Amino acid sequence: MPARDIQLTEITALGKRKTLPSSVLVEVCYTCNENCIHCCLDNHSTSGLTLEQYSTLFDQMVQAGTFYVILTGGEPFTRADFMEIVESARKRRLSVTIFTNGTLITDQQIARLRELHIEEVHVSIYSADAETHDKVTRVPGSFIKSIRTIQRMLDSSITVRLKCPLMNITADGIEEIKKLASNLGVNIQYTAVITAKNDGSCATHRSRLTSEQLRAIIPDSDVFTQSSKPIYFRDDLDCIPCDTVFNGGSIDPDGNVYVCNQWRIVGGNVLDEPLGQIWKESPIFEHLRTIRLRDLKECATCELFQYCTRCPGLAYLEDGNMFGCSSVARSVAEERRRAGVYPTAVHIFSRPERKEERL
Amino acid sequence: MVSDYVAKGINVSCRTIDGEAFIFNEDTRILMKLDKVGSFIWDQINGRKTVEEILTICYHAFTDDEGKIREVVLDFISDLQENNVVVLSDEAFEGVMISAC
Repeated sequence: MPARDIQLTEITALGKRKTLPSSVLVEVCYTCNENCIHCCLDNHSTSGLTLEQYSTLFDQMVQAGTFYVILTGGEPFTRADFMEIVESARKRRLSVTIFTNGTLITDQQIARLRELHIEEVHVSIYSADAETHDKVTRVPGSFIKSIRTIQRMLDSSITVRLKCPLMNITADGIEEIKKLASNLGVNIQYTAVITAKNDGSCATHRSRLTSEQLRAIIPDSDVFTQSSKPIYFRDDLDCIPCDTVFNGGSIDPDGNVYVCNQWRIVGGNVLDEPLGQIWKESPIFEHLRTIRLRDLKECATCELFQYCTRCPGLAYLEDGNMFGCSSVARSVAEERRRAGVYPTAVHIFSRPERKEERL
Repeated sequence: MVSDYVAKGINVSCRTIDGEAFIFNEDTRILMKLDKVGSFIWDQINGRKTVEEILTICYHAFTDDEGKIREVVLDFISDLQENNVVVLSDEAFEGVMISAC
């Protein structure tokens, strides 16, 4: 057979090289049945595009070279037609991952998700303690509903991952949530940074880990992937601050297109022009792609640079300058330096494309 | 086999970029990249064409003799079937089984 097995990372590497929105996050609504204390959404009223508009968007994704689509909200299952949206994406053979709180999913929907061969379902679980979890969601009984759904999905052979943003009220229970995941037989994706709301409000920062909690967690290699040596190239001022400007993509419930849902700069709207055209031709996106480490004057000379996983979107949203320091990234980097650990190679401060790296 | 309709499996995620098809089997989690010829054949598979119809398209697209093309295409589709990334049926596929990519 004229084929060869390759790694999934080749898809995103190809996207980076050819400027393709390889992996696109789609927020199908902002409505939600929970009311989480750390939520980044500044409104919960937007109900999203129509099913027909999403089908057109998925056609645009096929044309644009998208491989992965992440369907999220709000809570996507608050939409009565959400399964039809999933079917529409799978009909076009997009690889689909769903972010959900899991509380609204029926047995019938689970059976259909299995038939549709969903890549993964990520379920938000904040603590192994029901009371603490429910304090985060502010919905009594939400923990047990989410856990039951996880179990039912696992019984149906659906791949599940726990999404676990760490907060000051949950940090003491990390070992318990590891045990919970182990007992369920699933992986956990932790997040150590609670972000500002999309409108820039920092009210959510009240939920962030304290510096003492962060210091205690940083050395935990289960939570933070880490290396014992630096992976960055301080001499290479052509480092790319974040790969998502080349191979990412995010679409809000009104159809606005961003390079990432944390980098709140609109490049266009899919109701006005196709995703591929916005991705390649938006003047602001083209500008973002020209930014290099040499343009980040503070970063290029910062003593913490090798410890830092600065998100340019958060630098812009929380600190008001996409070329400047991200205060939250700095605080994490300080703790990494204190612990003597470095981040691993990711999409942040990545090496620019080299001829010898091409396929 | 040649009179059967052939469709991309619903267990497959795929995309063709610059004439090269990337096929991910969501069950085995194996990602394959096809060469240009394989990708051309892959792109013909949509649940609405029979193997015979795909053969006819390939006869027009490639300059090799028809016997050679037939051998290559049939071997290729058999391999895809063995890898569980396509399904064959004596009826055209409808609904979610139909591939749009």
